[in-house]
Amino acid sequence: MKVMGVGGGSREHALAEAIARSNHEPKIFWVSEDRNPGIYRLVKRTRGEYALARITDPLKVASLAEQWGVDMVVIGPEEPNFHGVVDEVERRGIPCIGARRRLSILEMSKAEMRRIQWRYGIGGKLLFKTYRSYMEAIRDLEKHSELLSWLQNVALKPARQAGGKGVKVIEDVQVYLHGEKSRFKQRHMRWLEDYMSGYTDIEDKILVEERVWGPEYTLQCFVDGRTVIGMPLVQDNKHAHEYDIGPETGGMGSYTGKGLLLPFITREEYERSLSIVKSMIDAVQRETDERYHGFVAGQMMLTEIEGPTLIEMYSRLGDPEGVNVLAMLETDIIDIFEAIIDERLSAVKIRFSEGATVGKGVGPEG
Amino acid sequence: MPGLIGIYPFGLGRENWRLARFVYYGLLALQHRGQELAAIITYGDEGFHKLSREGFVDEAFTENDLNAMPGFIGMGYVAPSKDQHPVFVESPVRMILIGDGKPGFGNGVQDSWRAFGELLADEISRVGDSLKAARQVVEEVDGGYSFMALTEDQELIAGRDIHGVKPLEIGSLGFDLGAVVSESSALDVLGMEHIAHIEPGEVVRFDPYSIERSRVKPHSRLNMSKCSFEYVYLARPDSIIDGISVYSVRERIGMILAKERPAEADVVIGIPETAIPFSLGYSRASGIPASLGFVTTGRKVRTAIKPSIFERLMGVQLKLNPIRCAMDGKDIVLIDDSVVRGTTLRNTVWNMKRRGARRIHVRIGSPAIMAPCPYGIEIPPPDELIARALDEREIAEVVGADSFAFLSIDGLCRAIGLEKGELCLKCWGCEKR
Repeated sequence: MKVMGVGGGSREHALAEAIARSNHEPKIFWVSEDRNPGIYRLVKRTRGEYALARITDPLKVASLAEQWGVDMVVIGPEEPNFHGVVDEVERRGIPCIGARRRLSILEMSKAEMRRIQWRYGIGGKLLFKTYRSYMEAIRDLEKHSELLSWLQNVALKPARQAGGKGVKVIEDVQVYLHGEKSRFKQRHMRWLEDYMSGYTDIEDKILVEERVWGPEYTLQCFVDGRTVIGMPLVQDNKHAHEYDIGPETGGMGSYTGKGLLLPFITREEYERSLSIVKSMIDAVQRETDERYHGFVAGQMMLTEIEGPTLIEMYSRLGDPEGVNVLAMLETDIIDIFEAIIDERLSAVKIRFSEGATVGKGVGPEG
Repeated sequence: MPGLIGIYPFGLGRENWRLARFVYYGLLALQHRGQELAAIITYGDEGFHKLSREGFVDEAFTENDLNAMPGFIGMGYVAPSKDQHPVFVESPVRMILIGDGKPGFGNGVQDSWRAFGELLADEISRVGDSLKAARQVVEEVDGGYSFMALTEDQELIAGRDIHGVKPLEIGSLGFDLGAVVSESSALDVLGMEHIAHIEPGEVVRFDPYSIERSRVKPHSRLNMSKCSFEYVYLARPDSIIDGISVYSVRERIGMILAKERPAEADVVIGIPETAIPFSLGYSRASGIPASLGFVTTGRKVRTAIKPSIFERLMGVQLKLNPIRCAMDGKDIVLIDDSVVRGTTLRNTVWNMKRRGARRIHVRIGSPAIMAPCPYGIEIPPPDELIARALDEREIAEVVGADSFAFLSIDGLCRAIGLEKGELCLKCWGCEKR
């Protein structure tokens, strides 16, 4: 069987490893923007091929799939989904594990995700507002200047998925620091507008959400358009520095517990988290009239008031969280992929090893 | 016993913070650690900004000062003496240093800190890595101190001496701000989360991209020397020092005092504000009800550290207006936090008797002060310390009380919950080793 992967990070390396473990005697083909040496070794070992190309270019990726004559394509990162790579590959009759462009809106637009959640009355919601410019945001904040308005305790985010950076959480409780904090908010919103000016595929630039507290966790799932199957929960250590201080990063490391749960989550909370993700998939399928084949993940927070709350969604496996679950996956991943393609995932028994895993991120300074 | 605070921003857009006002409110929360001098230091695009003024924080700085002060890294300082200034080092590394306690150079407090700053700057320039350099300095320089330095390379370096005499705590606000403070209550006031304490002999460095820690190979636990005076008197009761709640220590002190030195009385009265938790503990353990005996006029002033007798008495008279009906015709257990010279206590006892108090049994929530503090806490010269000259019975006579008793040193250690060997007990005349 010829399987082609897209993307060149550690998550994709873990995908390639899982594919290489399959009993289907896979030949691995891969495309990424920089060569990942780990994936390259697997490609060589299985006598596949490796190409460097822009992975957000649907025509390029689909042509490679055609040229290599692969049986299926697996997408690693989110940007190819946003750019319609899955749509183009499928248009050419090649099955693809990945979210189509319109379905990946759940991840691409944090604002649209929230709108869908409210429109369909799905649990784990947060209050939110979106703005096209910082001036618009500031005018609105001035209208709601009372200190007790939820708009004072907020997370400021880029409205589009933008590499997980630029999020600020501002808790404005002390009246005597209100001036400095609202000033900082304004400056950060202006900064966000600049930061987002490079993305022309979305109108909303700034997302303001109510501030919530609680431990965060990631629920990753396989989806075949009919069934959503949850994997073991992963907690991602996002903060860059010692003492858990510092900005949220793309991820500095992650761990799983024994089994599906994490120490702070009950079985019931897991089921509620899963039902939120399932409902979101149903909703976006209804909105677009398309079928979701691939991975989805809910970045969740266990808040005191709501319990499981949806913070954001991924149209892919998490990075690094994907590495943890793929390392634990005992079922043949190609069996799972075939079941996704045929929409018979409910008939597959997906097993994960019972051991806990820990991943650690290392990065250069700066 | 100065108060220190440093606040450091992280993440994209970190330059958008203006931290002078954060530092100001942090200093208000640390005001009790020093009432003679206050300084706000920031670092921004244009380099360092400094404001250093005499007096109370809320009088020293105006709205205009705070509005006009730029800078996205902030550091603040309050000191109990007009002569203890932040140390500015020009070369080989430009930096501003503030400190609590005293590094072990032979001279006065200010000179010791200057020497410490110069050594630190030299080491940073020689070693290159400021974290390594700071750890070496902490390893070499004896004494009891906590310090914080802000360099022109936007590094905030903080650390504690190897015995852990003076406290330093770590906190954060959201994802964006990290903070180092003398006491955790300053974090509460800023709406920050209290995360941890810096370990004895540990140095921590904040730079734009990281927080790094390094620790001198720890001595055994019993080689620590944490300042017991912090728990008894210096720190705010809402602070947590090295994981121990100051309030709970003070309440336990009262309970232990009631067991060690019981007295027959109708009511327990604590002298505001420090001795109130002692009195509540004493009341709980003895079953004697507690009452509020005094109301304070004017702002909180630390009378024991006022320079002249006249100022101290004026402070005490303003501070302690007795509530007549709480004491009229009653036998009273009167609890104070410490006795230095006995002058203010005598004044208080006399005042209470005039308001109708019958018998007054004075209990002190600390052992007798017998010796000066080698780490810069201002304690009068030995010949003025009442407990060096008189025993408890004689002190009772001098202050006009019906009985008088100190807390024992063992009782103090039990209340804090640390072994004798983990605490500095030098001011109580208890030398270890």
